[in-house]
Parts: sequence; structure tokens; C-alpha cells
Amino acid sequence: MFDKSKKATGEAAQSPAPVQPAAPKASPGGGQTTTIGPSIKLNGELTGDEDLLIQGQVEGNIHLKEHNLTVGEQGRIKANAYARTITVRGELIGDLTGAEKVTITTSGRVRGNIIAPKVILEEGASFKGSIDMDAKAEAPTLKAAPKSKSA
Amino acid sequence: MALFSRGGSPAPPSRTEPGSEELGSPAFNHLVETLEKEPERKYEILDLGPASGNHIEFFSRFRCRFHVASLEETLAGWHREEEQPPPEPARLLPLPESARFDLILCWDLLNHLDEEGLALLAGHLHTHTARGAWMHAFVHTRATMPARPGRFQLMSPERMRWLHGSAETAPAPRYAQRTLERLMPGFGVWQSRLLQNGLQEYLFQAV
Repeated sequence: MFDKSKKATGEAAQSPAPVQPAAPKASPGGGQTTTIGPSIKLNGELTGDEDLLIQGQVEGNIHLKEHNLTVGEQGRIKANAYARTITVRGELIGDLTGAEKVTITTSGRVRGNIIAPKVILEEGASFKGSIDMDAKAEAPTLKAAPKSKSA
Repeated sequence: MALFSRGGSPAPPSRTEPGSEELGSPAFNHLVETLEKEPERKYEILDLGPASGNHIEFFSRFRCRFHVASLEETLAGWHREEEQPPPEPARLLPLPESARFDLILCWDLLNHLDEEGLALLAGHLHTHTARGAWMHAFVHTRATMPARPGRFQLMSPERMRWLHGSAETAPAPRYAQRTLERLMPGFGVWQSRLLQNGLQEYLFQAV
């Protein structure tokens, strides 16, 4: 996931990286969580097979198949997102599809529509949009993106 | 103090903790029983209040699409001058063109609109409802009310906890049933219950 960023992590000691490197961390499930740091700005399609924490700015579409997406407190997203679970602690404008669950925490601000079998809004969360509590979340078919950021 | 009124200004922030109280909600209970009669039907529900995990959890018992409007947030940031024309309701409350709601939850928001604002909102909402759609609301019957709209936590279909929006009070418009019917001609009063907490609970139906 974010091969360029991973390389940047390894090369950071040799040459100054122009951007904050992505930092893979072990997720509670044992897999890796890759972080998009606060100084990173991404435009385009984002796909991946591991958990992702976004603290930067992303515009486009995010598709994580069977993995978890977290928008951190510093994350600013303008994108439609599909993941197994989605947790928003920052700001997101777009439609969210969670195969299992979507959570908006106290600090989260979401404008858009949510499709998920379970939606949790913590007290103080800001949300405007609709929540479909009936339809089963189906993975949207992504159009082939010529220069997708593979995760 | 109406949030939506000519020359109006937003209520000052509370310096003291707003109160809360429990209240019965017989009309809401009737509404829930009515919705439960059609378990296979998918409902379109519009909540004009702020996002509430409690409301979402409560209505997850139904097949539904639950729309959160957070109308107060929009109105609080909007003040018009005396000569300014009324705003386009669709701009204050943008709704999908095709949306046709089966239920609209107003909570106590109607009390914070002046007559012109109430009529505009009701007209806008009526264009997004089918005949027979429900609208639930609380109207203050006492001379004063909390200066800001409150939050309502659903404890059961017949009991709610009303969290006052502000410790400060403001004059209440005390909309009478005939006034509401005049301002909201698209909705008829289906049920009206006077509660002990200085609230009148209304269940309207789109005509």
C-alpha cells in the first residue's frame, strides 16, 4: 500500500523526504495499518488490501475491500468511500458504504449519505445526510483508474 | 426568540446548564405502532433535528432511509435584515428532488420559526411528502420556552427525555392548532395531546 510512501519510510534516513511518510502499523486484527500523514494530499482512486488511517487530505474515491478505513482527527476527505468498517474522527464529504459498520465519533463531521447495516453516531458527532439502514452494503464496482494509488 | 425571523439574532450561548425532563409521548407511540403495522415497508424518514445516535438506533427497528437535516444548524447561521426577501427554503433545507418522506420529525423546531418561516418550511416539506405522510412536532403552550431548540432522546415509544436547548428562555409563539392549520395547509392535525410539561404533542398527516 502506498509503495512510494513505504519507500520513503525506508529512505528517510538517507535523504530528506518531501512529504510525511506513510507509516504501516500493526492493526488490532494483526494486519497492517498504513497511515497517510497530515501533510499528504492525494487526488484520485485509492484502493487497498490493508487497513488505512488517513490524517491528510484525500479527494476522489477510496475502496478498501475487506479492510478498515479510519479518518483521523486531522483527516480532510472529499471522497466516496467503501470499506469493511469506516470510522470518521475528522471531516468527510462524500458517500460512505460500510460492509459491516460506519462510526462517526464525537469529533467527526460528515456530510453525505451512509449505507451500512450498522451505523453509530457518538454524542456530539456532526452529520448531515441520509442513512440507509436497510440496503445491504454492496461493494461498488470501481472503474478502471489509469493511475490509481494502489494500497 | 425565533431563529428564523426578520431582524432576528441568535440566542446567546447558555451560561448555565440547560435542564432536562421526561415526558410522555402518546402521539409518538401511536405513530410507532402505525409504522410497525407494515414491517416490510421501507420508510423514508426526515429528522429535522441534529444528528442523534439515539434516534438512529431507535428507527433502525424499521426498514428505512433516515435523513438528518440538522435544520437548527442552518438557521442559526442565517439572519436576514428587515428588507431582505425570504430565503429559498430549498436553499436552507436542500432535499433530493425525488425525496418523498413518509415521516417528518420536527421535535420542537416549529416554535423557533416565525409565522412566515413556518409557512415556508411547511410548504417546502409538503412538496416532499406523499398524501398520508406523517409529521410529528411539539408546540410550547406556556409563555416562555428555552431560547434554543432542544434534543429529544427516545427512551421508548411512549417516553422521551427532553434536553432543553438552553437555560435562557425566550417568549414562545404558543401556536394554536388553528394557526398551525392556517400556516401549514398541506398538513392536517391527526392527533393532538396536551402534555404536562408545557408542550402540546401534534401528529399531522399530509393531505
